[in-house]
Amino acid sequence: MKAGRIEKVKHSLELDEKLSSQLNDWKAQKIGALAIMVVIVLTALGLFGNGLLSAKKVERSGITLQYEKFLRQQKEMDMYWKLSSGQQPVFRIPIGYLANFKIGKIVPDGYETHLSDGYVTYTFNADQLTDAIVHFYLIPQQTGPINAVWIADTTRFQIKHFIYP
Amino acid sequence: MELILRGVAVYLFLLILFRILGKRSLSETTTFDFVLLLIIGEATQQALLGNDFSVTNALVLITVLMGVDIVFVKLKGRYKKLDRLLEGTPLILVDHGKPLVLRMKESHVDTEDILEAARLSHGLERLEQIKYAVLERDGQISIIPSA
Repeated sequence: MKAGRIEKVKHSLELDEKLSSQLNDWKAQKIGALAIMVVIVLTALGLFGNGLLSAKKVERSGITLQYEKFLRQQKEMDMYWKLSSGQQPVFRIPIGYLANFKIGKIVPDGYETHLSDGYVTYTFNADQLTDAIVHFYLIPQQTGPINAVWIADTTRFQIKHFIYP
Repeated sequence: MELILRGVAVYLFLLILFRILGKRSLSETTTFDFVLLLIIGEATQQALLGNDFSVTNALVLITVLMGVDIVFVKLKGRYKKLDRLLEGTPLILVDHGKPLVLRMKESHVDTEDILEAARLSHGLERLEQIKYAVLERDGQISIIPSA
């Protein structure tokens, strides 16, 4: 709305009517309404998790990884791994990465862990794996960007998250 | 510290959101608005308290929110521009019985709203009986009848 089009009033009221401020208000309201719509669309697309923009799928050396790039603090997420036959169900996760999460659950639960070289190694019993699928259900405890490299069998996977508060 | 940041962030977010929605959004509480406010209240509670539902947390949070409010009241009293920015300014919508259509359109107020305010406050029957109708800073419409 252009300032010139708005009706000017000469009045006898003792009133702090400031038309320029009002015009700025209306402009801000229009921009704000547009911003709300943009946020709704981006949310639907997964900018804040669970959607197209957030879902990440990586396939390398016969291993498939699916995870969410955008996470929310305290909301559980699933690191889904699928291994092909011949792959060793061994995962090496940096300790620094795990420090940002609480481990909710790991499926299947037949695994051994040990610490070495700044990594926590999870070794699963291959006989207990159903369709060679492993889920790490992790609950983010920190906020902000997180970058780490997981090693599945011998293949490196660069993982990037952004955790919203 | 996290609690203070949460309180301030949610306070500022809601302040901005309601300023974006405009003055009329707060004064016109329809059934739908009431439901919306209830839902916002529920969502806000979670964001404010997190997983800590202790009495101490709630009391500290209330104190923080009151503190933020006191700071804003002081600042608004000292800086007129900030006051206008946060509260807006009053706006004349009817001038000597003539509706100012563009102003009404931008403010999301229609003639019916003005006539309703005129009936409620002064028992007026027609627009011509209104000297000025002013959309106040709190979203209410005040009516000055023609002499």
